[in-house]
Amino acid sequence: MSNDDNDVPMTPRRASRQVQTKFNSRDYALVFEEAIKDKDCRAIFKRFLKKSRSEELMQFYEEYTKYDELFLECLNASSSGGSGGKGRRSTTTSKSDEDDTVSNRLSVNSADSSTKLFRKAIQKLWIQAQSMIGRFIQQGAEHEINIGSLQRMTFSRWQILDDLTPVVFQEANWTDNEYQTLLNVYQTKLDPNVLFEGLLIAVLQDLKHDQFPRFVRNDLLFDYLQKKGEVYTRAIAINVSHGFNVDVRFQPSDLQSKVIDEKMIFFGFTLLQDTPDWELILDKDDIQGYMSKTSYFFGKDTSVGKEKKGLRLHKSVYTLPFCIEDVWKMVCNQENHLKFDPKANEEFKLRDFREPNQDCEFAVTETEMGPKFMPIMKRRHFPFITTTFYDSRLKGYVVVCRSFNDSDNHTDRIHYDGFAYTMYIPNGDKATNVFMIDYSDIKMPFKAAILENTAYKFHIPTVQKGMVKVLNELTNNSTKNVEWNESMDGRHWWKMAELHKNRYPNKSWYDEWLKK
Amino acid sequence: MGNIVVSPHDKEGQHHMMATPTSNNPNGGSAATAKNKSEITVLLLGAGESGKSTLFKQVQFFHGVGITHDQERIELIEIVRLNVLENAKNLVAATQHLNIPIEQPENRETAKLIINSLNTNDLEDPSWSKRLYSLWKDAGIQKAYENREKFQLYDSTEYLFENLDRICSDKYVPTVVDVIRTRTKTIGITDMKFDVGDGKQLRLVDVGGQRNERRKWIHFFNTVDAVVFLTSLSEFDLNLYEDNGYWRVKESLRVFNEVVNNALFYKVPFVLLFNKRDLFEKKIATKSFSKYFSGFNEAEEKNPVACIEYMTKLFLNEITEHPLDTVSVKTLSAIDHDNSKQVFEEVKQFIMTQQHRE
Repeated sequence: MSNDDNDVPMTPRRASRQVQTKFNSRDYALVFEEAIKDKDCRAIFKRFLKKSRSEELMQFYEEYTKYDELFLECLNASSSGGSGGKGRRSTTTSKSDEDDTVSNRLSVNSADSSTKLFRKAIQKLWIQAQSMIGRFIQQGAEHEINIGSLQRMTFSRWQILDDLTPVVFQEANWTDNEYQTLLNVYQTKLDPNVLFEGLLIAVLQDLKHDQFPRFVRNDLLFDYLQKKGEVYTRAIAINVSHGFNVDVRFQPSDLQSKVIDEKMIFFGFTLLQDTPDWELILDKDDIQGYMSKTSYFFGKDTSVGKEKKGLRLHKSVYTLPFCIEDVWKMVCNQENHLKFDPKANEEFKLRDFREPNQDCEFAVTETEMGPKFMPIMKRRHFPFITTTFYDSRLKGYVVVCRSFNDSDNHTDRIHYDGFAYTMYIPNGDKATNVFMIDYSDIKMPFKAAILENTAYKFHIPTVQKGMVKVLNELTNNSTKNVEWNESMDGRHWWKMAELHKNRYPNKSWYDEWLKK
Repeated sequence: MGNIVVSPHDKEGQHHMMATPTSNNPNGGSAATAKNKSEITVLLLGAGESGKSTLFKQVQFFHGVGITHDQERIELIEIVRLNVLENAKNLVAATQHLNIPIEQPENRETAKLIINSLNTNDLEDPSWSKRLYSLWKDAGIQKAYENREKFQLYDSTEYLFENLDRICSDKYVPTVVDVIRTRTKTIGITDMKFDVGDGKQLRLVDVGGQRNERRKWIHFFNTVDAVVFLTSLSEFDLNLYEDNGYWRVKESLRVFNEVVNNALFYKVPFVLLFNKRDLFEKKIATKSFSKYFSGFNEAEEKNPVACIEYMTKLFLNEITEHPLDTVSVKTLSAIDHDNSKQVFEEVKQFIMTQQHRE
């Protein structure tokens, strides 16, 4: 085997050397949308903006966020007041139908508590609006923003709306209903999307395109991130030290569709190579197992409760002392999966096979599995779209699986989200390296990583040993080749790989990824 | 020119297109006297959209600053595409405003999408190149474009629409020209430093130009060694971004008056740059110049030299305090690399000579 790094993704030995990587904040590029959500990071950004005399943009953003929350409180107050009002309305209406006496008229002060609450919420909202207009919007304001016509439109809307303010807050005899209606009308005018229409987007745009690019290259930020450390940095920034497209993290919404595209294939190669925070959890003989220390969704890894915690990355690398042809035939045979990894393949079902089409450039299968890992655990549901292909540079086979949104089926089971990549790559004529990457949220009931480690540590050698055992049986202890006929191709892995060989002759996705 | 400069990873954070403020204190904080100090601070001033940042970007480029990061390129892609969308939006809005119907039904569909949902990522799809170009060529949009003095539109509109086939592609890589042509409104201040020989450094400071931005200028007037004031020749038929009822020329004259006669600048060299000469020459060929200046001889209005001479007088008349022998006047096309280089070199020489004289 060649020593050229580009030849094969990673031999087990080379992989183990990459475990220790020192965190350097300069390897990271801050992501705007994530950075402004983080309070501490915002504080640093503000310090920078102050120095470049553009802090009003961030101040506006923060005040707007507060305003937005106050508006939400108003909506809540109005709906609780409204529903209470509805209940009352029936009695009030029936009474006032009979006689509209003065006793049914309410002064603001004697209004019932839900109206009072609504009024109070509106008042708070108005105070915030007034302060924002005075600070940011009005011509010559102390921290006037620079948005042009949108800003002037906000100001004229404010002037019209503010004419109504004394009417809303002065003491007057209103029926509860009348007053609720007035407050509702006033509230619609104070709606941030109405009053400040377009301003937030414009401010964020200026911030993002003018000052932010300077901020992300500033020492102030790098020093700060260095101090905060790797976990924090990864929650708001992207590792760009290996090029921009290497650290790609997925959002839960990326795992909805039934398509596999080249981007996903490249992503698999990236995961294999990029090891920013692998923790070696298993290292014996020719088997290595790794788990990522941090999660791979944006946002912090707060592994509590049932919330989406982010995907964890597992990687295992091992060698099978059999040639690639035998290994590929063995894994293409559906029966064998039940032998070397019986748990994961429980209730395997092939649902569909699709030729390449307009939506998906690869042939794929749609399958499901329903493993129950432990008696006490709920059954999982693994809905998978799978494709396989032969890579001419690697001279080996790649199996790509992704989950999709299958929430209509098996509602009683816990659904798996994620990707799984397996690569079978020859290591000389008589051995095959297997790289498995599982990029998933397996939603185990235990939260502690150490338990996950233990389970994973146990799992990898079991599968590897299982494969060796099956291969020994099929080759009669390496005295013959594995037999193959198409009736064994229960997962269509063989068929898909051959189809892609014909469709994309001599193609190497690995080569293309290297050139990226 | 054309392709961008790409250098390998540059972890020092230097030589990026998006310059980093070089000092933590934008006021410079230098207590040295103007004489013999090692840093010469030059302020780029002028009203909004006079070309300060364009000149700043040009100076960055010809001091070897290129687009070095993938990430930077991605930021620039977004800015270019945002410019395309903003131009398209403004044009569509103008057709409604000016009551000019968009003629072709399919272009009306495109216009609807632009106003409602289109975002910069969508432009990766090459089909948008055709759709946007077809919209651009629509008789209604073209008519609105001819009347562009009536609304706000970037100077780069035509350039961007003519380059859609490159921009609307997932392979799009912004060129230096693209970066020079795109507009980003400057908020606050930015600076860069470069060596000018004799162990001296020139610190060039770029600022925002709209009214509220100008209030920030005063903060660093104290430490200035020279002022380069830009004004756009082609704004004679335009109104302000921040105040659509206000004539841009009037605003420029007013700002110029305030700056040039500021007591803090009495002793510093002052350069007045009439920018956008290229656009100006195109514009006066089709539009009347004398319509906007009652004192100008109508017979001369197609002669750019006469027009510029007139404008020069108009501006110099504003000078009541500053000694005229330390004021230099030049014309510029900041989007033109060679012209920028030459003019900036002259400006630099002028400033250095003046410094020496002191």
